[in-house]
Amino acid sequence: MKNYTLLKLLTLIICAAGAMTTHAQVRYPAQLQIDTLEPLAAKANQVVDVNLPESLLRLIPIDAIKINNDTDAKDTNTKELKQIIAGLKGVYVKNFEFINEGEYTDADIAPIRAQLKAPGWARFVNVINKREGRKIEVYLMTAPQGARVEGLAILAAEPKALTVVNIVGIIDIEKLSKLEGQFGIPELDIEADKPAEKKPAKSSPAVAPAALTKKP
Amino acid sequence: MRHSRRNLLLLLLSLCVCASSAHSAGAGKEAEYNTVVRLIESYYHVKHKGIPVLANIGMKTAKVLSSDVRRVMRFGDFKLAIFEDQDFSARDGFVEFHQQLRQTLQPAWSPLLAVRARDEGLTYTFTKEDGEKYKVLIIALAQRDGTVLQVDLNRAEFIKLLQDPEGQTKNITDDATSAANEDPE
Repeated sequence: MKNYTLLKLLTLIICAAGAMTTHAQVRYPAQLQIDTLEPLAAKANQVVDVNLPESLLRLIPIDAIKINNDTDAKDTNTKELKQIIAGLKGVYVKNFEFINEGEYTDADIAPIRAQLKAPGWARFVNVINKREGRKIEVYLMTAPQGARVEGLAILAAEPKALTVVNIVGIIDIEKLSKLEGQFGIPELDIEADKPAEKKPAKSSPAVAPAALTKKP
Repeated sequence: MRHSRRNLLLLLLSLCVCASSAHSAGAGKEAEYNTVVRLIESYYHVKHKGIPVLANIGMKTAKVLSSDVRRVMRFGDFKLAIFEDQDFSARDGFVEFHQQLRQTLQPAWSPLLAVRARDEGLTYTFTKEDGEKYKVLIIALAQRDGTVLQVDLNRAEFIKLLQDPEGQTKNITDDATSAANEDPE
């Protein structure tokens, strides 16, 4: 009996020692395997990857966050950005740029689309600008009760560029545009419509839909 | 008596396990930087120039330092390897080097930023938490030059890096390399 207790104690000590040197990374359902797009790198002229897992995001003190052009820390934009960041559990960005048009096809994006067919994911916004050949899709991962957004994915496809943004955590997508230009998230020209202009989608969570518009 | 001796043995064994874990983690700090330098040398067939003096410039002397060197001092301890006038265009590192670098550093180091541009070269930023300090490993390879830089950042500097990974990676690299090019005399 005494030996058994000692063995348990020893196991605990060894486990604790192991835990000190191991970095455990939690994987959330809304986190995409964004690296499945890596084969596309061989065709690209430029590839940018930004990875901000929860372990790094947690280090950022909310009070230290300030939008560059804000002069007043109490500015609404900064306040809203702080609210968004408080709920984040990960930010992942992968951007490809190509020299010529048509260097990637739908088949290249298939690994990401396949992940977005998993339960919980639903396409929320789909904007196609035929003149510019630009297509932006926003997918939301909602909790089983459908009450809140637990993650989102943006697929921005342009003739010579492809960007995938995966934001994990509780997000109010009305305020999504505030994250542009922060943490390596590119300017995707995401703007929230005024709630009065659009009716919320039937299957969507209780937030106003976002519109994706091209800034002048 | 026999039980207490066995307990003592078990305790010693446990302590040995803990000590060896801590030692291997510590040894890894040096090994990863050196392994990255060696990986670049073997992959691109280039040779680096170490800057061993640099880490001691401000630490052990009371000389009046230039603004560049003083700026670098905010990093605390750092290591720098410079590749000057070498040919990095001989091999395409876009896919294969990228994979090898990640295999070398992960999971101990987290990849924060990777910028691969065919005309401008490769820039990588990896991070690792180390107690109250944050270790940052930056690898920047252009057509003819390259740097491998490992610095310790304090929390405030590290947060700046997280908020603007691309801009701050460039600032840190510029500060370190400009200081390295200065004559400490």
